[in-house]
Amino acid sequence: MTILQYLRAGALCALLAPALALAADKPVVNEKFSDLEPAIQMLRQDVGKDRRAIVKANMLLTNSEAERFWPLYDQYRTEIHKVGDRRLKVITDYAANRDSMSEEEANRLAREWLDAEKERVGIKEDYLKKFQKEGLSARTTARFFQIDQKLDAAVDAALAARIPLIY
Amino acid sequence: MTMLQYLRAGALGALLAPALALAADKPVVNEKFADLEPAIQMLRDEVGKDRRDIVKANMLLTNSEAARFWPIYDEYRADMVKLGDRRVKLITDYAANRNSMSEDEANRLLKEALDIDKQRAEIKEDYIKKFEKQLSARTTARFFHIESKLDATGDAARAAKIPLIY
Repeated sequence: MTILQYLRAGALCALLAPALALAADKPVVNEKFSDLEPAIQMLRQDVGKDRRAIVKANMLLTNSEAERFWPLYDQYRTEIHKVGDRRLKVITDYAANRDSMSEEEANRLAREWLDAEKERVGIKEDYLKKFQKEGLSARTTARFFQIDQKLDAAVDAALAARIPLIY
Repeated sequence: MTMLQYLRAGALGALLAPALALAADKPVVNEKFADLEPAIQMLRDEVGKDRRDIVKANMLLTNSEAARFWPIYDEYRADMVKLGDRRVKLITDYAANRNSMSEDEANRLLKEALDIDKQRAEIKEDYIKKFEKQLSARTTARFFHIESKLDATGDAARAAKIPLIY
């Protein structure tokens, strides 16, 4: 079962449960998560595979638009994947040091996370121009970034739920 | 029932269903959403109200830390609420024009959406500095980690509710 099938099957609630457990009265005691990195890698791979098909089914492109869209899409996803690697590095550095983190390390990771977030927005700004330069309409471009945002939001929520808090 | 109780009750799957329906083979036909603004406002109010309790229950602050933490927290949230107002404006402008949007308007809304995301990261960067003047980097990192969990949940719920442009 791929992660998207899993999500479709309505199991996202279970994935998100730890995040929502935050709302409990007493502090959350976090589970161990030595297998966090493989789990995240699996999530990224599975979503990556399904992602193209989801975008394709929802973009409603003509053949001529498709010819201009897909090469840029692949380039875009490659760049976003690099930012994903940065984010994954923050998560695993964090996981490795969570209970004995120095002040410098805590500071570095918080900034690195936000910096990766800004880089992600910057890449989207670049590609917004590139898509339109290829003659795709602003409406088509907007539709693509909406689909992309929906997928990112689901993955971010799944990730956020899986990362335990620092002590 | 508050929005968070609703989420806790496992209804998030239902909220996310439209986003996940994207995965279907045929294009999604979007429902009408004349009541989108009140729904977003409700989400903001409810999450805003519960948000403070969630942060409080999970920050594990000493009294002395709490005395320094909460004033900055309230200032921070006020900045985020202003940003939230921009987002509500964006979503309602979008909703009003979704089926007959000009190229200029589509472009403007797209840029505004990205600008809001960038601004959110920048406000957080500012407040990392402000919190660290008063509290340890570990405590600050814990706070922003809780924030990112709450934001991710809110973003997913919102993304699920907004239909695609035609």
